[in-house]
Amino acid sequence: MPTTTIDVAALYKALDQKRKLHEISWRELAGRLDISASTFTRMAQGARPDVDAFATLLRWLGEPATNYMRGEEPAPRTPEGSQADLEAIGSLLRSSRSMTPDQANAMENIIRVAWENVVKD
Amino acid sequence: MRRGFKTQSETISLELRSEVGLSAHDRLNCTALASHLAIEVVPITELTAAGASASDMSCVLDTSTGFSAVTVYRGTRCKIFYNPYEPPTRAANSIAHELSHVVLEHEPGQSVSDGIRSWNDSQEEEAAWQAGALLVPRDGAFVWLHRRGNVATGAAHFGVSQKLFSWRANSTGVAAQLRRLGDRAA
Repeated sequence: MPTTTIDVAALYKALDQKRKLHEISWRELAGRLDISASTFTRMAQGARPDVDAFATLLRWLGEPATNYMRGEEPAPRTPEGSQADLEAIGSLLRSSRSMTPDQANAMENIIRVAWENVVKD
Repeated sequence: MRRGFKTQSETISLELRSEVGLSAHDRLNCTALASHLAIEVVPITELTAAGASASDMSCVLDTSTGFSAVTVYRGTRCKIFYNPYEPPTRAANSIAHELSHVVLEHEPGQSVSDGIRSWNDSQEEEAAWQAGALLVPRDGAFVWLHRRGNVATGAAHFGVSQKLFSWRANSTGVAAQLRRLGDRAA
Protein backbone atom coordinates (compact mmCIF):
# COMPACT_ATOMS: atom_id res chain seq x y z
CA MET A 1 0.00 0.00 0.00
CA PRO A 2 1.43 3.44 -0.90
CA THR A 3 2.53 5.58 2.04
CA THR A 4 0.79 8.65 0.65
CA THR A 5 -2.85 8.70 -0.41
CA ILE A 6 -5.45 11.25 -1.47
CA ASP A 7 -7.92 12.37 1.15
CA VAL A 8 -10.94 11.97 -1.09
CA ALA A 9 -13.42 13.04 1.56
CA ALA A 10 -11.60 16.33 2.17
CA LEU A 11 -11.24 16.96 -1.56
CA TYR A 12 -14.94 16.23 -2.14
CA LYS A 13 -15.90 18.55 0.70
CA ALA A 14 -13.77 21.40 -0.70
CA LEU A 15 -15.30 20.90 -4.15
CA ASP A 16 -18.78 20.83 -2.67
CA GLN A 17 -18.22 24.11 -0.84
CA LYS A 18 -16.97 25.90 -3.93
CA ARG A 19 -19.68 24.31 -6.09
CA LYS A 20 -22.36 25.62 -3.74
CA LEU A 21 -20.80 29.08 -3.79
CA HIS A 22 -21.12 29.01 -7.58
CA GLU A 23 -24.68 27.64 -7.25
CA ILE A 24 -24.13 24.82 -9.72
CA SER A 25 -24.94 21.13 -9.62
CA TRP A 26 -22.29 18.41 -9.73
CA ARG A 27 -23.38 17.66 -13.29
CA GLU A 28 -22.91 21.29 -14.29
CA LEU A 29 -19.49 21.34 -12.68
CA ALA A 30 -18.54 18.16 -14.54
CA GLY A 31 -19.61 19.81 -17.79
CA ARG A 32 -17.54 22.92 -17.09
CA LEU A 33 -14.45 20.87 -16.28
CA ASP A 34 -15.05 18.35 -19.06
CA ILE A 35 -14.93 15.38 -16.74
CA SER A 36 -17.49 12.67 -16.17
CA ALA A 37 -20.26 13.44 -13.68
CA SER A 38 -19.74 9.89 -12.46
CA THR A 39 -16.36 10.98 -11.12
CA PHE A 40 -18.18 12.99 -8.45
CA THR A 41 -20.66 10.20 -7.73
CA ARG A 42 -17.74 7.85 -7.20
CA MET A 43 -15.82 10.35 -5.08
CA ALA A 44 -18.85 10.74 -2.82
CA GLN A 45 -18.44 7.02 -2.11
CA GLY A 46 -14.75 7.43 -1.29
CA ALA A 47 -13.35 6.33 -4.66
CA ARG A 48 -10.29 8.22 -5.90
CA PRO A 49 -10.45 10.27 -9.09
CA ASP A 50 -7.99 9.39 -11.85
CA VAL A 51 -4.84 11.47 -12.17
CA ASP A 52 -6.15 13.75 -14.93
CA ALA A 53 -9.39 14.41 -13.07
CA PHE A 54 -7.44 15.03 -9.84
CA ALA A 55 -5.26 17.62 -11.59
CA THR A 56 -8.32 19.26 -13.15
CA LEU A 57 -10.11 19.46 -9.81
CA LEU A 58 -7.09 20.94 -8.06
CA ARG A 59 -6.73 23.59 -10.73
CA TRP A 60 -10.40 24.53 -10.33
CA LEU A 61 -9.95 24.76 -6.57
CA GLY A 62 -6.72 26.73 -7.06
CA GLU A 63 -4.98 24.56 -4.50
CA PRO A 64 -1.84 22.42 -4.48
CA ALA A 65 -2.11 18.63 -4.38
CA THR A 66 -0.30 18.55 -1.04
CA ASN A 67 -3.41 20.00 0.61
CA TYR A 68 -5.11 16.66 -0.02
CA MET A 69 -2.23 14.24 0.47
CA ARG A 70 -2.14 12.20 3.60
CA GLY A 71 0.85 10.34 4.97
CA GLU A 72 1.08 7.31 7.17
CA GLU A 73 -0.55 8.98 10.13
CA PRO A 74 -4.31 8.47 9.97
CA ALA A 75 -6.47 11.57 9.89
CA PRO A 76 -8.39 12.25 13.09
CA ARG A 77 -11.79 10.61 13.02
CA THR A 78 -15.09 11.49 14.59
CA PRO A 79 -15.89 9.08 17.42
CA GLU A 80 -18.11 6.21 16.28
CA GLY A 81 -21.68 6.09 17.46
CA SER A 82 -22.23 9.81 17.94
CA GLN A 83 -23.21 10.60 14.36
CA ALA A 84 -26.75 9.24 14.54
CA ASP A 85 -27.59 11.89 17.10
CA LEU A 86 -25.87 14.66 15.18
CA GLU A 87 -27.21 14.19 11.68
CA ALA A 88 -30.48 13.06 10.22
CA ILE A 89 -30.51 9.64 8.59
CA GLY A 90 -31.15 10.44 4.95
CA SER A 91 -32.90 8.02 2.67
CA LEU A 92 -34.78 7.75 -0.60
CA LEU A 93 -37.44 5.09 -0.49
CA ARG A 94 -39.34 3.21 -3.19
CA SER A 95 -42.45 1.67 -1.70
CA SER A 96 -46.19 2.17 -1.48
CA ARG A 97 -47.02 5.82 -1.16
CA SER A 98 -49.15 5.18 1.88
CA MET A 99 -48.10 3.04 4.82
CA THR A 100 -49.75 2.14 8.08
CA PRO A 101 -47.99 3.53 11.16
CA ASP A 102 -46.75 0.00 11.95
CA GLN A 103 -45.28 -0.41 8.48
CA ALA A 104 -43.65 3.03 8.62
CA ASN A 105 -42.20 2.30 12.05
CA ALA A 106 -40.79 -1.04 10.86
CA MET A 107 -39.31 0.70 7.82
CA GLU A 108 -37.77 3.38 10.02
CA ASN A 109 -36.19 0.72 12.25
CA ILE A 110 -34.79 -1.09 9.23
CA ILE A 111 -33.40 2.15 7.77
CA ARG A 112 -31.64 2.86 11.06
CA VAL A 113 -29.93 -0.56 10.92
CA ALA A 114 -29.12 0.09 7.25
CA TRP A 115 -27.56 3.44 8.16
CA GLU A 116 -25.25 1.70 10.62
CA ASN A 117 -24.37 -0.65 7.76
CA VAL A 118 -23.23 2.11 5.38
CA VAL A 119 -19.48 2.61 5.38
CA LYS A 120 -18.44 5.81 7.05
CA ASP A 121 -15.91 8.27 5.60
CA MET B 1 -41.37 17.77 -14.78
CA ARG B 2 -38.98 20.68 -15.24
CA ARG B 3 -38.35 21.90 -18.75
CA GLY B 4 -35.65 19.96 -20.58
CA PHE B 5 -35.61 17.12 -18.08
CA LYS B 6 -36.73 14.42 -20.51
CA THR B 7 -33.99 15.31 -22.97
CA GLN B 8 -31.45 15.46 -20.17
CA SER B 9 -32.53 12.03 -18.93
CA GLU B 10 -31.74 10.48 -22.32
CA THR B 11 -28.34 12.20 -22.31
CA ILE B 12 -27.56 10.91 -18.83
CA SER B 13 -28.64 7.42 -19.83
CA LEU B 14 -26.41 7.34 -22.91
CA GLU B 15 -23.49 8.82 -20.96
CA LEU B 16 -23.71 6.24 -18.21
CA ARG B 17 -24.24 3.41 -20.67
CA SER B 18 -21.18 4.52 -22.60
CA GLU B 19 -19.12 4.55 -19.41
CA VAL B 20 -19.93 0.88 -18.82
CA GLY B 21 -19.38 -0.02 -22.47
CA LEU B 22 -23.01 -0.21 -23.56
CA SER B 23 -24.89 1.39 -26.42
CA ALA B 24 -28.55 2.46 -26.36
CA HIS B 25 -29.48 -0.95 -27.74
CA ASP B 26 -27.86 -3.11 -25.08
CA ARG B 27 -29.39 -4.54 -21.96
CA LEU B 28 -28.26 -2.66 -18.85
CA ASN B 29 -27.05 -4.57 -15.81
CA CYS B 30 -28.03 -2.21 -13.02
CA THR B 31 -25.75 -3.87 -10.50
CA ALA B 32 -22.80 -3.36 -12.84
CA LEU B 33 -23.76 0.29 -13.26
CA ALA B 34 -23.95 0.67 -9.48
CA SER B 35 -20.52 -0.90 -9.18
CA HIS B 36 -19.17 1.58 -11.75
CA LEU B 37 -20.56 4.38 -9.58
CA ALA B 38 -18.95 2.74 -6.50
CA ILE B 39 -22.39 2.23 -4.96
CA GLU B 40 -23.04 -1.01 -3.14
CA VAL B 41 -26.33 -2.79 -3.84
CA VAL B 42 -27.47 -5.52 -1.47
CA PRO B 43 -30.69 -7.38 -0.66
CA ILE B 44 -32.35 -5.81 2.35
CA THR B 45 -32.59 -9.24 3.97
CA GLU B 46 -28.85 -8.99 4.71
CA LEU B 47 -29.76 -6.55 7.45
CA THR B 48 -31.18 -9.37 9.56
CA ALA B 49 -27.61 -10.49 10.26
CA ALA B 50 -26.75 -6.86 11.05
CA GLY B 51 -29.35 -6.63 13.79
CA ALA B 52 -32.68 -5.88 12.08
CA SER B 53 -35.50 -7.63 13.91
CA ALA B 54 -37.33 -10.46 12.18
CA SER B 55 -40.68 -8.81 12.82
CA ASP B 56 -39.60 -5.50 11.28
CA MET B 57 -38.15 -7.31 8.26
CA SER B 58 -41.29 -9.38 7.84
CA CYS B 59 -43.44 -6.25 8.01
CA VAL B 60 -41.31 -4.37 5.47
CA LEU B 61 -41.30 -7.31 3.06
CA ASP B 62 -45.05 -7.88 3.36
CA THR B 63 -46.54 -7.19 -0.04
CA SER B 64 -48.94 -4.62 1.43
CA THR B 65 -45.95 -2.40 2.29
CA GLY B 66 -44.99 -2.39 -1.36
CA PHE B 67 -41.31 -2.11 -0.49
CA SER B 68 -39.03 -2.16 -3.54
CA ALA B 69 -35.78 -0.49 -2.51
CA VAL B 70 -34.26 2.20 -0.37
CA THR B 71 -31.07 4.23 -0.67
CA VAL B 72 -29.63 5.06 2.71
CA TYR B 73 -27.16 7.92 3.12
CA ARG B 74 -24.47 8.34 5.72
CA GLY B 75 -22.82 11.66 4.98
CA THR B 76 -21.96 11.57 1.29
CA ARG B 77 -21.89 7.78 1.16
CA CYS B 78 -24.88 5.69 0.30
CA LYS B 79 -25.94 2.10 -0.15
CA ILE B 80 -28.93 0.63 -1.93
CA PHE B 81 -31.01 -2.08 -0.25
CA TYR B 82 -33.56 -3.83 -2.45
CA ASN B 83 -36.36 -6.35 -2.07
CA PRO B 84 -34.93 -9.68 -3.27
CA TYR B 85 -38.39 -11.22 -3.56
CA GLU B 86 -39.52 -9.03 -6.42
CA PRO B 87 -39.38 -10.44 -9.97
CA PRO B 88 -36.02 -9.69 -11.70
CA THR B 89 -37.59 -7.15 -14.06
CA ARG B 90 -39.16 -5.27 -11.16
CA ALA B 91 -35.93 -5.45 -9.11
CA ALA B 92 -33.96 -4.04 -12.07
CA ASN B 93 -36.39 -1.14 -12.27
CA SER B 94 -36.18 -0.57 -8.51
CA ILE B 95 -32.37 -0.46 -8.55
CA ALA B 96 -32.40 1.78 -11.63
CA HIS B 97 -34.89 4.02 -9.80
CA GLU B 98 -32.60 4.34 -6.79
CA LEU B 99 -29.52 4.95 -8.95
CA SER B 100 -31.52 7.63 -10.72
CA HIS B 101 -32.09 9.46 -7.45
CA VAL B 102 -28.31 9.45 -6.96
CA VAL B 103 -27.31 10.62 -10.43
CA LEU B 104 -30.03 13.29 -10.39
CA GLU B 105 -28.53 14.57 -7.13
CA HIS B 106 -31.82 14.28 -5.27
CA GLU B 107 -31.67 15.37 -1.66
CA PRO B 108 -32.23 12.47 0.72
CA GLY B 109 -34.70 13.14 3.49
CA GLN B 110 -36.60 11.27 6.13
CA SER B 111 -38.66 8.86 4.05
CA VAL B 112 -40.38 7.60 7.17
CA SER B 113 -40.50 9.25 10.54
CA ASP B 114 -42.69 8.80 13.61
CA GLY B 115 -44.93 6.35 11.79
CA ILE B 116 -45.50 8.60 8.78
CA ARG B 117 -44.35 8.01 5.21
CA SER B 118 -43.05 11.12 3.46
CA TRP B 119 -43.25 11.53 -0.28
CA ASN B 120 -41.57 13.94 -2.69
CA ASP B 121 -43.65 14.04 -5.87
CA SER B 122 -41.15 15.76 -8.14
CA GLN B 123 -38.19 13.61 -7.09
CA GLU B 124 -40.19 10.40 -7.46
CA GLU B 125 -41.50 11.43 -10.87
CA GLU B 126 -38.01 12.30 -12.09
CA ALA B 127 -36.48 9.09 -10.72
CA ALA B 128 -39.19 6.99 -12.35
CA TRP B 129 -38.60 8.68 -15.69
CA GLN B 130 -34.81 8.49 -15.43
CA ALA B 131 -34.97 4.80 -14.50
CA GLY B 132 -37.00 4.11 -17.63
CA ALA B 133 -34.47 6.03 -19.73
CA LEU B 134 -31.60 4.09 -18.21
CA LEU B 135 -33.22 0.73 -18.83
CA VAL B 136 -34.76 1.47 -22.23
CA PRO B 137 -33.26 4.51 -23.93
CA ARG B 138 -35.49 6.13 -26.53
CA ASP B 139 -33.04 5.25 -29.30
CA GLY B 140 -32.91 1.66 -28.11
CA ALA B 141 -36.71 1.31 -28.15
CA PHE B 142 -36.92 2.93 -31.58
CA VAL B 143 -34.32 0.68 -33.18
CA TRP B 144 -35.77 -2.42 -31.59
CA LEU B 145 -39.30 -1.77 -32.79
CA HIS B 146 -38.23 -0.41 -36.15
CA ARG B 147 -36.35 -3.62 -36.89
CA ARG B 148 -39.64 -5.50 -36.58
CA GLY B 149 -39.19 -6.46 -32.96
CA ASN B 150 -42.24 -6.12 -30.75
CA VAL B 151 -43.02 -5.15 -27.18
CA ALA B 152 -42.68 -8.69 -25.85
CA THR B 153 -39.29 -9.35 -27.42
CA GLY B 154 -38.12 -5.81 -26.61
CA ALA B 155 -39.01 -6.25 -22.95
CA ALA B 156 -37.17 -9.57 -22.85
CA HIS B 157 -34.14 -8.08 -24.58
CA PHE B 158 -33.86 -5.09 -22.23
CA GLY B 159 -34.73 -7.13 -19.13
CA VAL B 160 -37.81 -5.11 -18.23
CA SER B 161 -41.53 -5.80 -17.96
CA GLN B 162 -43.66 -5.48 -21.08
CA LYS B 163 -45.55 -2.73 -19.28
CA LEU B 164 -42.36 -0.69 -18.85
CA PHE B 165 -41.18 -1.26 -22.42
CA SER B 166 -44.58 -0.29 -23.78
CA TRP B 167 -44.69 2.80 -21.53
CA ARG B 168 -41.26 3.87 -22.81
CA ALA B 169 -42.28 3.36 -26.45
CA ASN B 170 -45.43 5.40 -25.95
CA SER B 171 -44.23 8.12 -23.59
CA THR B 172 -41.08 8.92 -25.58
CA GLY B 173 -43.03 9.24 -28.83
CA VAL B 174 -41.35 6.21 -30.41
CA ALA B 175 -44.65 4.43 -31.08
CA ALA B 176 -46.14 7.52 -32.72
CA GLN B 177 -43.01 8.07 -34.77
CA LEU B 178 -43.11 4.50 -36.03
CA ARG B 179 -46.80 4.78 -36.87
CA ARG B 180 -46.00 7.82 -38.97
CA LEU B 181 -43.33 5.77 -40.72
CA GLY B 182 -45.95 3.10 -41.36
CA ASP B 183 -44.19 0.62 -39.14
CA ARG B 184 -46.63 -2.04 -38.08
CA ALA B 185 -44.50 -3.05 -35.10
CA ALA B 186 -45.57 0.16 -33.34
